[in-house]
Amino acid sequence: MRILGIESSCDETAVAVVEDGVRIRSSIVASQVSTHAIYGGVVPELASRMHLEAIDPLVDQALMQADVGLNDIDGIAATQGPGLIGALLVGFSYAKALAWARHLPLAGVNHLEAHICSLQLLDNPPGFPFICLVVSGGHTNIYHVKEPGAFTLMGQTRDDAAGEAFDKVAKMMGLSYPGGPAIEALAQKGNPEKIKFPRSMLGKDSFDFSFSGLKSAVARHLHETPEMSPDIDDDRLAHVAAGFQMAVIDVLSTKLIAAAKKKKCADIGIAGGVSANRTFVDILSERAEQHKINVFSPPLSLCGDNAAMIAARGWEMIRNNQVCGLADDVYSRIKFTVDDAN
Amino acid sequence: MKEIISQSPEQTQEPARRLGHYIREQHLSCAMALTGDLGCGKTCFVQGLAGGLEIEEGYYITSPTFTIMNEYPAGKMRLCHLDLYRLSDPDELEYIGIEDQMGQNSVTVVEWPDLLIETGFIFDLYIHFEFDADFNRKITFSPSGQAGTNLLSNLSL
Repeated sequence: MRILGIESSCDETAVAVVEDGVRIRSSIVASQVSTHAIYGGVVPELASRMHLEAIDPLVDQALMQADVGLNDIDGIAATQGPGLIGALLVGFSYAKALAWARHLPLAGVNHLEAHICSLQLLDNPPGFPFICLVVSGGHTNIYHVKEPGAFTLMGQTRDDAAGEAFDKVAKMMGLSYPGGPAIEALAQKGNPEKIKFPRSMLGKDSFDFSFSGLKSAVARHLHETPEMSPDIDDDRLAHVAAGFQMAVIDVLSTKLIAAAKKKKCADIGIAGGVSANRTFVDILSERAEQHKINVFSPPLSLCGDNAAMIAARGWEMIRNNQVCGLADDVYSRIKFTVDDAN
Repeated sequence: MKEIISQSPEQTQEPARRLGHYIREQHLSCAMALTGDLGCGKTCFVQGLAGGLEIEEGYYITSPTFTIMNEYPAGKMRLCHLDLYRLSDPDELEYIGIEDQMGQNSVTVVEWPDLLIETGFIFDLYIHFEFDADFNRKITFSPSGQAGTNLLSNLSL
C-alpha cells in the first residue's frame, strides 16, 4: 500500500511517498531545498509562511521522485496535531480535499506518534514493547509502545522542551542558532564535571520533565560570574556547555532507563531533533547496555520533522480503518490524563 | 503601574493565578504582553494564569517558543499562549492565523510581543520581567486603556 504523507505542523512543509509503512520512495522537506537555496541556509522563521506556497509543488516533486502518479496512491496521511493551527490547517485541508476528490482514505496523524514511527523506517527497528522518547525543540515526551499503534504517554515536559533548553542556553552564551549542535560542539572541549547544574527529576516515580530550572540555573551562573561572559574565556564557557549538556543527558537517560525497567522493555527508541545529538545517544546507549537495554535512533534525515514518518504512521491507521472525514479538524494541544501514566 | 518582587516560581505564579481567577469570574476577553529576558519567569507566570482560569490540569502549559502558539480550553473561554520570538516579519503573523485566534472569549498572552506591537496592536496589560541585583525577579504591570486599568486595579498583588 502506497501512502502520500504530508507534514506541516510547524516550520517544515514536507511530503513523502512510503510503501507499506517501511519503504521510503521519496521524502522531501521544503526548508531543506527551496529556502535553503534562496537564503543560503535554513531559515526556520521564513519556513513557517511557506506552507501554503510550498505544498502543491512539493507533492508534485515527491510523486515524481517516487516515480508514481496520483493514481498509484492508495491513501493519504497528514498531520492533524499537535502544532500551530495556521500551519496544520494548510497541510490537513489540502490532504482532506485531495482525499475527497480522489476517493482515498485519509489518516489524521498525531505528530508525536509519527516521530515514534520514524524508528520503524530503520532496517533494524526496536522490538515491541519498547520505550520511546520524542525529544525536540517543541516536545519531550516519553511513551510506552506496547505494539504497533499502541502508544501510552508516560510523561512529558512541564515547561521547556529539551531542545528548546539547548537553544535558549546557547542564546544566553552567545552561540549560534540552532543551539543543539553549537552546545554539543563546544561541550567537547569542556569538562562536564566542572560545573554541577541541577537535575530536576520531579520525584522518583514521575516520568515528567522540567528544564526551565536548569535554564535559569545557567542564566544565574552566567549572571553571577560575569567574567564568564562570552568572548572572555572559551574554556570556561566550554565547561558551562558540557555541564549543561550532561545535566540534560543525565535526566533523560535516568528516566528512560527507569521507564524501560518499569515496563520490562528491552529496547529504548529516541526520535525527534535532539536524537541528532550523538553525545546523548552514545551516553544513553552505554548506560542502557549495563541494564541489557538496546537503544535505537533514526538516521539524521528522519530526526527532524519529515513526512516519511507521517506516511508510516498513516499506513498503520488506514490499515486499521482509523480514518478521518471532512468534518474532522486540526488540534493545537493534547490533554495528558493521569490514567495514561499508569 | 504596579510592581512586585518574586523570589520563587510560586511567588511569580500567585498574582498570575489571582489575575486568571478574576478574568474567568468576569469573563473578560483581554490581551497581555509579557516581556523580559530568557529565564525570567514568563512561561511560569502563564502557568499561574492558567491555574486561575481553571484550565484542566491534564493540559501542561509548556513554552510556546517552538510551536509559536498554544491554545487551551478554559471553560467558556480559551487561553492563547503565543511566543513571537522566532518570527521576524509582521507578515508572518497573518500566516500563523493570529487574527482568527484572538478576540472574543479569548485570553491572549504574548511573549516577545514586539512584532505585534509594531503593527499597532494595543494590549490591555504589559507585564515586564527582569532580574534584580539579587537575582530575584522584578515584575512590573502597566495597563493600557480602560479595560487594562480596570483589570489591574482589581488585582491585589
